[in-house]
Amino acid sequence: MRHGGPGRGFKMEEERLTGTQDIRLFKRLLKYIKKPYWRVIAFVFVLLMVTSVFDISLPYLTKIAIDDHIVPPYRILNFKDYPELKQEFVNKFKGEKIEIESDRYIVKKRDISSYELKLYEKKGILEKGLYIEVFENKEDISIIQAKNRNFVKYEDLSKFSPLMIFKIRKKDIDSIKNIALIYLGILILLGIFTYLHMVLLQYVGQKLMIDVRMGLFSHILKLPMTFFDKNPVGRLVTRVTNDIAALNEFFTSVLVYLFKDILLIIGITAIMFKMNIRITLIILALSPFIAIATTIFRKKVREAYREVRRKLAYINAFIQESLSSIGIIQVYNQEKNNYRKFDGINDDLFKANMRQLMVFAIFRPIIDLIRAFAIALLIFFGGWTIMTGAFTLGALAAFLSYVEMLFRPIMDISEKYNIFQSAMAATERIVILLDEKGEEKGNGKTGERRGEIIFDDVWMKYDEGDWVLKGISFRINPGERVAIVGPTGSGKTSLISSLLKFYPVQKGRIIIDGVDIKEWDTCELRKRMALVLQDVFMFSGNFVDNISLRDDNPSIERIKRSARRVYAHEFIESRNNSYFEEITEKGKNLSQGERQLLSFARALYFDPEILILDEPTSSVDSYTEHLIQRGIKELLKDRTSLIIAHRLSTIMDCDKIIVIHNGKIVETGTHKELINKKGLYAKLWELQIKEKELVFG
Amino acid sequence: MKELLKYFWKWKWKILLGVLALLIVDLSQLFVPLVIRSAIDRIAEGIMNLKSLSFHFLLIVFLAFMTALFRFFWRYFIMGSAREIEKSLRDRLYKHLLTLDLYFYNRRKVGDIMAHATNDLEAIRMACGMGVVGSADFFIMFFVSLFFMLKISPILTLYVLIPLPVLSIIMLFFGRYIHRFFRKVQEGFSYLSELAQEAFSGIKVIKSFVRERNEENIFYKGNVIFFKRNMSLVYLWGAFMPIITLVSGISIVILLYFGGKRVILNQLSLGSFVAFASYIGFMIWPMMAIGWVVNIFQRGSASMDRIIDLLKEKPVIKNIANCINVKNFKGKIHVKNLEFYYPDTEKPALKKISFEINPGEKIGILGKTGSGKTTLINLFLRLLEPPQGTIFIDGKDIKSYCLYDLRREIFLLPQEAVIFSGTIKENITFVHPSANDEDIFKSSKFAEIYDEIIEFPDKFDTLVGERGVTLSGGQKQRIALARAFFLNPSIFILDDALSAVDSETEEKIITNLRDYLKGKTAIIVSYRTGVLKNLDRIIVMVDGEIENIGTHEELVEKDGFYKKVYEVQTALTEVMK
Repeated sequence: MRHGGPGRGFKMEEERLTGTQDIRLFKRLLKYIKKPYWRVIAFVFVLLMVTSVFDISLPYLTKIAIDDHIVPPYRILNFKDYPELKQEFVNKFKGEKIEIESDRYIVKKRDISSYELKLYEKKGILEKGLYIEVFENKEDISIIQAKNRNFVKYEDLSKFSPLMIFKIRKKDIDSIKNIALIYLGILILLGIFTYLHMVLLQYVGQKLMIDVRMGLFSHILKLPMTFFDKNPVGRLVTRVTNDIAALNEFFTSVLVYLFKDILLIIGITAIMFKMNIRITLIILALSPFIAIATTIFRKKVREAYREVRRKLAYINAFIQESLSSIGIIQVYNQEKNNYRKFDGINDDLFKANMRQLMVFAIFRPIIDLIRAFAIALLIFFGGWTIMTGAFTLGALAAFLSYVEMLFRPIMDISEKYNIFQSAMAATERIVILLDEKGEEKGNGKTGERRGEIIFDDVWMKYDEGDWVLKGISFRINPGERVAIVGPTGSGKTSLISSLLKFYPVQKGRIIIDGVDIKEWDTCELRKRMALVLQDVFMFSGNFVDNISLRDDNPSIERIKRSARRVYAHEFIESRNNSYFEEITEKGKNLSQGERQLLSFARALYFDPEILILDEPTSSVDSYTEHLIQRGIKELLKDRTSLIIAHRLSTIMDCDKIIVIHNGKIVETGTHKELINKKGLYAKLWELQIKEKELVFG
Repeated sequence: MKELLKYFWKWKWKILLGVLALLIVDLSQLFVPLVIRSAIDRIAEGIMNLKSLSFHFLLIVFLAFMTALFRFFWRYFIMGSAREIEKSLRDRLYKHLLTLDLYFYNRRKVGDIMAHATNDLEAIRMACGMGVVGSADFFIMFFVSLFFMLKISPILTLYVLIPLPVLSIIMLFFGRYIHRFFRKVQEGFSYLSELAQEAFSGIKVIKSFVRERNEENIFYKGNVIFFKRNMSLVYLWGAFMPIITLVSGISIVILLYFGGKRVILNQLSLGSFVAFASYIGFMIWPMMAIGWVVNIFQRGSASMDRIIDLLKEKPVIKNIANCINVKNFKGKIHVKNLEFYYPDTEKPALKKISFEINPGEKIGILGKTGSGKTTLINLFLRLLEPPQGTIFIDGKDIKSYCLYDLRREIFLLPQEAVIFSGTIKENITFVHPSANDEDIFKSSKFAEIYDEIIEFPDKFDTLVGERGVTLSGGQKQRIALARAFFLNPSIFILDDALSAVDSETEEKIITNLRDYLKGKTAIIVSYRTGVLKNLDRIIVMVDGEIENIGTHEELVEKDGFYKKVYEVQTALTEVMK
């Protein structure tokens, strides 16, 4: 989901107008970039400049080859009716001028300036026909002799022997060879430089994205639990993956290439103007049409593409859903109806695909048509201008290439604008996330290591909801074991969450080892405690990873010791790869009981002062049940512990039992005291004896 | 490949028309250099005039129009038929999937099947679309260009073409590797997503054990892997365009020297020289296309094979020949010595099951999770296949009935209510799409859900499922129950289907059901003794076997699972008061 909804798109449109907004957004991201690689980027820019020059120079080389070497060089000027022009010519003409007779001169065409060419053409001074210098007389050919040099009409050249022709044009052939070699050299350099800048650019882009992605990732990890409650994980994942990818695409395929496109457009236009202003203007006049056509095309394509994506997502969701519930469809004999529905959706998708196809089928040819029209115009006006002398064949050939090169970036503009827009939208979403306030870190205070917990009239609620804890007060002395008992929804989970500073307490104080948890350094506080939940979260990786929580340098000794103590060692060893067996799909290859034992091993590995245990309720087979009970005993040994207890045996082992109901403490005391009291606990207890299944919420 | 060709054959006319249009397009395009050649030669010889120039101009414009017009047609015909093939194949596949049974779906993950329905279909479409275009383009463009070039100068053609086959080889090689590397990059991207997903989902563990730093390191390593994979793709991909440019450029260099020399020596016209340059340009794409097309066809036919394999899957559960058509059942069920194993398991899921249910009797089933209740019920409907001669309805083996009739006459409300994305109305009328509003209202009242539905903003048109409102478990179960209203089965089965409904509402529903079930045989699986005690008899199941059968009064007298459950539940109700 890289694109925002239509609403967001519109909003971005507005912001585009301000301009400065975007820069401010980007600046926020720059903060996360550790090493900006300015030098590499500068080098990439230099490479881009060089390759642009190379790109432009290749067609020009062809032009030189054609105009200066392939096409016969000499023309005749006849000033018979224009003595004043002849005077000017004699005085000012820079190139070699060979007088044939009093008013006629033979000159190299490339020495005549385009202004002069036009003038001479208009006045008829420039005679028709191309000439070439030869070194030998031949009787059947009319030869123009001047100052001991012989010139023949180009058409007559074929009357010489091939060897003679070769001799005549040896110099030109050598030049062509040189030009071909230069062309090849530029081509190779162009290849190398292009490869180099592509690789470097990607390198820098990827590196920068790592910085931004890491910055964002660690920021998210620092956000409070309330944030995670409100934001689905999928959305956060999209921020660190797809949104960053959109930024990278913008950086590597738009931002930097924009520079090259501008260079190319300027360079090509300049060189075209130099060759012929009028023809260049005619070609340029077509570029807005190309730009408009491509913009419309891209817009249509985008719309059609979105429609296709939507329909495709719909049909895939439909198939997925139907196949997942195939049983119910078959039980209710609904195959036909379901198929009919599928058929309709499949047809919709087909129609959307055909619409997209039509956009391509109609607009792509139109764009190509405009380009072909440009070529036709070029041939017409170019040809015409060549006949008047103000344009050359080589230039025409070069123009054919330049038109292609000029239109390409113009056609890309709207595509690049889209990439820019999605990058902006991504940036905005990322910045909004970066603006989220991190978790309370505390005042850096720590308490001495004792393991004492005091709740002093604690009131707590989530956001605007009702109170979930209503004036809870109790004290747990170091080393004491306390069970919390109560029906579902009585506030047990909220109580342990408040202890770990997952959610703030609104009224009252929680004091751990003599320090109010508000003052406690959050990280240090959590390190003192271990939380073992019913719903065990398994990370990908093996048993070692999961017990040590993917420690870089785990102590295998300690892992095994922990596992042994909670009776997890046995089942781990029974696996093929023992401790290095991969855990698949969040622990799908483990039983519920095995996952429990692993979470115990995990807690032991980190060896905290205080243990907070939400005892598992789910029923497991009797053997595992037995292991779990023994595991819990080991876990609780020699440390302060707070247990949301469900098991008879666990509760009986506790020094104190707190019964809570509706966020309030109803009863407190030892097992004996509470049984004698004949209150809620006593009743729950009575039931527990009759049914060995779980009863306490 | 054979299967793929079958599809081409079926669409032969459209594809042929498309190829014909492509031929016209290619010819028109390839004619343009000849026009340019003629123009340049005339200009070079100085025999060009305005009339002739205009003629050349108009000819190019005309050819451009032809190109544009027939481009439309080839796209329409070839790409269109590729889309049609995709559509019809998806249709065939889906139709087939609907006939497959739970044995198949237990063996194959839906995710894997989805991959066939998406990736494989796409690969086949590519083969039918771009594959056809690429190969047709290769043959037409290549040979027509070659023809024109040979006509201009055979020897120069030979020289100029020397580097071009390299393009085909590069394309073949690059295509394969780039595809592989690209997949690696995508995997790297997925891996990164997984890491992030894991860290954010496991945030509680991470925070409570203060593992943020560690997670950052792990994520960083994932980033480095992604970076490396990206770079290996870039090293390869980055070389692609420069090599293509270089190879085709070398042809131009050859033209420049050998062609240029010939023009100088007056053996070749300047126009031909320029036309040659154009033809080299036209040759590049077909030379690349042929390498590319090979890959596309390989991928397409491999995908086709996978789809065909899927189409060859046969359901285990199907009608026997000459199955019996029935209008309705009297409702007598007889289970005889039923033993059932799931495929590839050694422990029986059900053993020694024998009992009889009389027409119109209301039977309850109680048992722990995993005791085989749902398996037993699935066997009644032949969602699982019972062994021959173990389950009889009205005296005949259920296998002898036509599946459609069997399933019509037995209504099952499963434990997990299936709600499809769509409106509430669509969900209620799932079994009877043409139901009118009045009946829909009645059905929802029957399932005691009406009051809650009209509280929703769009009432019966409220969207539910992934993109709609989230329903509670109880609401889902009651919507599923409302479906029963439209049917008139002989046998009615509730598989713990009201477990999430509160007991007060449940009682109301049971009252509503009483009329509905008059004369029908009913089986009600439940954990609530309050519901079970009113039924005619109760079957108690433990570990795949029947522990006890009897009335409520009989069962509370016997020491057994039923009695234990009953006592705890009564005691709990007292405490909760």
